[in-house]
Amino acid sequence: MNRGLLLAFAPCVALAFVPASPRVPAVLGHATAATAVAVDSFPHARHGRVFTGCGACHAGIVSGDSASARPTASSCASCHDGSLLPRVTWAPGSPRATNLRYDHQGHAARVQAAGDSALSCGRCHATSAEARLMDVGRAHPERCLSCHAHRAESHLAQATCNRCHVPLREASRLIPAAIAALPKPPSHDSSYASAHAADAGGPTCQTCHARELCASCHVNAARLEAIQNLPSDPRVGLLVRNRRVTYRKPPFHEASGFLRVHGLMARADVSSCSNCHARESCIGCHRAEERVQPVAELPRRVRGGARGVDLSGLRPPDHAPDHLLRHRVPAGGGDASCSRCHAPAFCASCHDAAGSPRYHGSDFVQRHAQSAYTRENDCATCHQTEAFCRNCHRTTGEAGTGAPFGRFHDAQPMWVFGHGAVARRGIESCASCHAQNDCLRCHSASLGWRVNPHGPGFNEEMGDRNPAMCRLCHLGGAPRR
Amino acid sequence: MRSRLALALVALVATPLWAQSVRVRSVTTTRYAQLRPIRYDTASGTYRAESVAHAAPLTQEVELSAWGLGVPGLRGYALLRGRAALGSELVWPRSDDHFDALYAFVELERPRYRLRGGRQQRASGLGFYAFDGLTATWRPWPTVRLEGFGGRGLARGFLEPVGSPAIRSLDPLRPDRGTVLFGASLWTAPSDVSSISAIYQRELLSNRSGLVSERAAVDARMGVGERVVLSTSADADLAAGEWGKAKLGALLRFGQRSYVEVEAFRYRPLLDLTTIWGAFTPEAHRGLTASLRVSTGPGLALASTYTYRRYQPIGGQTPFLVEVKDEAHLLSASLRWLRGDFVLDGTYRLLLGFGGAQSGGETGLGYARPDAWYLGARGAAFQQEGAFRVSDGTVYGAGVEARGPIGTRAFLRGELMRYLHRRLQGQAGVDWSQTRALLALEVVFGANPDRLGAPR
Repeated sequence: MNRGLLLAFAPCVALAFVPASPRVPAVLGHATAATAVAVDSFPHARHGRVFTGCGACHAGIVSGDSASARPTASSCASCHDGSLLPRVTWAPGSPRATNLRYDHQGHAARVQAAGDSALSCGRCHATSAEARLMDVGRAHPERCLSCHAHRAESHLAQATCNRCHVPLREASRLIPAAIAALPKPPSHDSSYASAHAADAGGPTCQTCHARELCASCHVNAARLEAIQNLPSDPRVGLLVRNRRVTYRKPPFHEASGFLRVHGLMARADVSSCSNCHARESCIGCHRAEERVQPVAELPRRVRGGARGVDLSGLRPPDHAPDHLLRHRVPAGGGDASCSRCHAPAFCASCHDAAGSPRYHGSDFVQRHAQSAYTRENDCATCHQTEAFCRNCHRTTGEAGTGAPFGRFHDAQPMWVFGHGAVARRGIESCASCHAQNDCLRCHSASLGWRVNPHGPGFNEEMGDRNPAMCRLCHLGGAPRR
Repeated sequence: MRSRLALALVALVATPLWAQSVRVRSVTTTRYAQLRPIRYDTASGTYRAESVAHAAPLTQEVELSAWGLGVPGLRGYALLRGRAALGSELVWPRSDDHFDALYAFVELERPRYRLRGGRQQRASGLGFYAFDGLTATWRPWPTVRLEGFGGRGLARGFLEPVGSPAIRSLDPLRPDRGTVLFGASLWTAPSDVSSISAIYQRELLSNRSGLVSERAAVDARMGVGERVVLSTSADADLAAGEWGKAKLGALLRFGQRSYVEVEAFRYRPLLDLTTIWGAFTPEAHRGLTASLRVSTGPGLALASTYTYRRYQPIGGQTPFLVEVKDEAHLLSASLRWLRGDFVLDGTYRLLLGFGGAQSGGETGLGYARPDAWYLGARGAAFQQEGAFRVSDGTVYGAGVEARGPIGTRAFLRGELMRYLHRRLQGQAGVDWSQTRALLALEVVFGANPDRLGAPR
């Protein structure tokens, strides 16, 4: 295995993934290990006294004559003729679909050439060492190990499978269900998903797996040599279609501060990330789209491929519940912080008012007066007083004409004579109905009634900073201090 | 007009390069609202209700993001909004302003810096400010960002130059010239839950004849252990020599999603020197907010908030003002309960004191189907009295809402509410009964359609 491949699979040590659905077949890596027990469709044991050997029915097995490899219905009828014995219905089955790299003829020839005359059919097919002649069944793989050296303790132990088994692609007669039922080696336990990188790419994997299985988890399947070296198999593709994978979070993702440094790690080697993360995984948060180099290097999610880790529900640690209502402080950083995740339209959906009435609720227009007066929110952040508030208030009649004896304010006709202190509490609310000209009727020092509007603590230096403001009331300019 | 030209220029420049990836998001929102205008009857000295009138504003937003323009990190971004009125009897605010470019900029994003030029809006401790200009961001380290920005200032919440005819038609005393806005900000995050940001911003009349505003703000939060977050923010009106808004809060988390928070605050508006409002010497009010949120796992969340506000006492007694209170109390409580595919939520608010009294709430029961469709019914009721208008009474509301995806690229949202106004016993006045409806369709074209519904 080359170094690049090792590097590519290295994260799998930590990035373990397990399928979420219990319907996913065993071959996909999480069924309990089981050895296939041969089921004999013919009651051999009951015929133990009828036949003296296997060749009467299975002569072709060793000779290679497929026609005589299994008995026909007429063979049975010689006894089961309806008079001596009842008739039976029998049809020889087709040869078993298997991925074994084995043929009886060649095996028999080699055994004979080796001079092992004791080897009979029962050596492999007898149900037990003490079984009688016709007490047979399908060969158990462990029987092979009684003669053939096997470097592991049992059949499914991690070893070279291709010695006895053909690659899955060549076992063309295996139907998807049979592939799904292939036994899982004990080594393929829950921890193996995070440790399989070291084994990946070897011919052993091809015995049970095809490229489609790997691609159902690995977002970067197309970039990994080990996966691309695996043959493609549409039967496996059928099995993994719509497979939903739950990506297990690796331990180093749990480390304190990981969120802060993950960008640096991604820049250092984004190929590790791409085992599990698609570009779409990142852009749930990183609004800079593909312009962020590590994100751009991640593979895209493709139809039918691995979905990759879904981080759409992920929130930064400082985004406590109700963050939307209390984001003023973190948003103080403005674009510098928020725009890493949020597009401008996200802010605009509330702050630019027109697009989303959901922020206030549909009945807010009726109850907004109190909220505005107490300044639960800073209305001016989103609403332009003249264009939004006053415009509507005038349309609906709430905004008065500025008549000094209007009776709008709590129906108090003399409101105007005591409104100053109240106005200083909520001058923005005044401006939501009244234009500056309304106030200047009384408060102008040049054209009005010369009522001084400046409250306690008035800062006269403001006039130096914008003399034009003073001249709205003091046409000749602000009085000299 | 200039914004359209700028947009055309951006398009012209971008066209020969042609983006590798383009995403277009369209949001079409139609609303229907009934209102009952009132008119002052000089003969009787009272307000008289007129017939119910309706408005049906249509808002069309188009968000465009194009990248892969031949230069790594380069993108064009625009958020455009069109408005129209569909047979409205009333003029909905700004529906006669048919086009706005909320954002239209070209941006170059590199690991250490970012340049953004065009129409943009800055969110900061000072609020939202829009301008046509340039922003340069430098990130010397991942936890430190420095920004400088400047350009032609736009009226807040209006997106037109301050001296534009559109603004002056609303208030002829506004200055007849534009403004120049510039400033700088610093953001640093010592830890995951700690950050400090500071911004200074100055806005001048374009002929330098006067200052429009000079403001600064500081926001900071700090995690103490794993459970406590301290936060503070303050802004200052340097032109007026006054502090503006300020907050100091502490949040204690317990459990997975529960917390208690206490916050002291101060509010004083920051007003431009181009209006006379600041010369009226606005007073600050102060207050205290206590919030509690308890969540027993993902299914149930209860929250309650109490806010106390204290205003400057009315100094001089006058027989012309009746019972102006110096305090205000706001109590709110909310519930959200998820059980299976069903969602129950409710909110109640009680406001007493200065500004009138209001008691109201709403509740909703929704069915969130596994296919992401949400179907719900809502009910609402509120009562208010003593407000600064004649509106004593109770309003009951009932309606339905639905939202959900249509395929992988479209999202539909609709709601309909009917409000019935019942006068308090013995009261007579304006009937505020009305119907409100909303229908919105969001469609995403181009790259990454699966981002529909994701946080933007």
